[in-house]
Amino acid sequence: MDSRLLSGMVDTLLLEVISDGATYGYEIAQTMLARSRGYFEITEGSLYPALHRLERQKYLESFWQEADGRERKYYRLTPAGRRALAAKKKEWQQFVTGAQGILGGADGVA
Amino acid sequence: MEWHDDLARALPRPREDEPRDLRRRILAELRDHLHTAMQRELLLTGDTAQARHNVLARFGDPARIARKLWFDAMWEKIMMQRGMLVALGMLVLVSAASMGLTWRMVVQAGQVNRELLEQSRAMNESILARLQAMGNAAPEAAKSAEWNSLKLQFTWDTADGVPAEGIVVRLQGALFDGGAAAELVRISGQDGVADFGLIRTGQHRLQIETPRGESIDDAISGLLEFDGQLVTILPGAPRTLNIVCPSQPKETEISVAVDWPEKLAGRPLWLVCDFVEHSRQVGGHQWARSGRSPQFVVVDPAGKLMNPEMRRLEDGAPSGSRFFSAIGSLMREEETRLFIAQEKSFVEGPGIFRFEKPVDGPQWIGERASACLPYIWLPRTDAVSRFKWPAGSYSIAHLVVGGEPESRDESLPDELLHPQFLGGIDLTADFGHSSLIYASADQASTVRRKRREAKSDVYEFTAVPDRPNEWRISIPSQLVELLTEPVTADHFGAPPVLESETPNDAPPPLPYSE
Repeated sequence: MDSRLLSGMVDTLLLEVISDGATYGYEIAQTMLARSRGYFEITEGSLYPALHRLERQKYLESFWQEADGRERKYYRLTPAGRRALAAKKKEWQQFVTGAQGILGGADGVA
Repeated sequence: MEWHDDLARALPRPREDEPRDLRRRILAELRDHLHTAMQRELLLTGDTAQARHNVLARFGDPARIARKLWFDAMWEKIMMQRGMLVALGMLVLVSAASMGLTWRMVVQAGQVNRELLEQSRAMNESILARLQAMGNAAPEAAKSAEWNSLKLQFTWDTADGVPAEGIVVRLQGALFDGGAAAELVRISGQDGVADFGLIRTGQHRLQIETPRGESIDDAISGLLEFDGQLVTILPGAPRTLNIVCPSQPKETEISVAVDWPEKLAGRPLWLVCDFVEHSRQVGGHQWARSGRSPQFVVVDPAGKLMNPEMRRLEDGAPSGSRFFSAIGSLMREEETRLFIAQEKSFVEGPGIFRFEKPVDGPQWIGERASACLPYIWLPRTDAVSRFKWPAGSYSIAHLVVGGEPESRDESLPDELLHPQFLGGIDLTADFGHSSLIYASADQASTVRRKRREAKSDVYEFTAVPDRPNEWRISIPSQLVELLTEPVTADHFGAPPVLESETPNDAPPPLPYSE
């Protein structure tokens, strides 16, 4: 897929994945890969700058917890993150509807 | 795994403003991800190298990710610091620019100030030059006002002579505003100039006196303006007067001898006379010495010549109030008599004196003259063959003849001689008459009956410079007659008998005793 399409959706996808509950980086990457059925095979390291940015934007909050004898950083949505996710999902639905109308209509005419 | 060490080395050097656990938590998060991914890959592949390869292929470059996370976290602070550095740099630049601008303004201000000072100096010089020009033109400007300059230029003896220094000039009159009389005194300098500056217009009196005491003695405008002259300052007419002054005359040698007439031959007589110096005609003016004592000449019965310092009979300004406090001459018929009032019978110096005897009761004018006969005191001085006087013309003012006293008064000081007064003549009287000086009122009455008029003889002598001058003095005929008249027994020293007082045969007390 075109990486430019994905870069515009990363924040929304991350917020959606984290909205299910507290999770950590590796698990987020595996969830996105699994839910997209291998379509979103993104570079895992690139998730962390996005996660940190969302955290600075107060859409996410984090906490540390020991797991398997190591420190692990968990992320979860803040109320602001939930409102942002709802807005982004609505905007996405409108985009998809609009795009589907155009793309689907074209197929029908043809 | 050695990933941690690689990641730690990949991060930038620690900063002072870095959060304490920032890099530790970045490394911990990435390590957890890589460790978890490695375990999963090991389960799938069983090969560590392959597992690591797969993990890094899906994750990307951990060091780059770590640096990016660190920079993202520090971005605000770094940018803030850079902003501060930039702002500080800008501030430094602005300050430097301000200082430069200020320095340039100071330099420009200094140049402007120098230019202003130069312009001000040039303007001041211009103003000073104009003021100086106005000052130099002041006499010209005074033409329109009532002020004019008066300057006197003095030279010795001739108009083109040497500048006369030391001339004292007194200018008297309404010299300033208000019209009150004022006097200005100037003394000529080496250039012979006496400058009075600006004075008011009008007619002012000018008195000029040389260092020798000679003053202008002209009669001006019909007025007897002696010892001075009038100077007239007209509006708009500055005056510069050129005045020629008489210089100090040379001294020349003089000898004096007496031609006694035959009628007086054989008598031991003294001749005492005083000379006055004539005025001189220099530069169109008469110059006379005023207030100077006359020169006395004494010839004793042996013909010995003396030139003593003495006082004369009618000197109007004797040494002090103790002597001659009242002196004057009054016309009585055709004769002039001299009257001298005596306040104290004491004389401090040699001379010819007449004292008034105090008289009780009423007296008529002229009586005082006969109260006492004149006295002569002479200093006992060495004889001289000749003496030195300034060259010029001289006249005898008084001529007095004395005789040897019958007895010497022991109360007299040894340094004084006391010839007996026999008679004298005043040759300075006006109206062409001389005045005989009698020894007593009786004698005056006798002589007056015999000769009612006495013409004045002229006794003038000239002292020529650079050669001996031999003067011979003859006795005036009227004085000879007076001296040859028969005298009464009480002629010498006997006071007249006045109607108002008791006759007194005793001689009056000598005036030098208190």
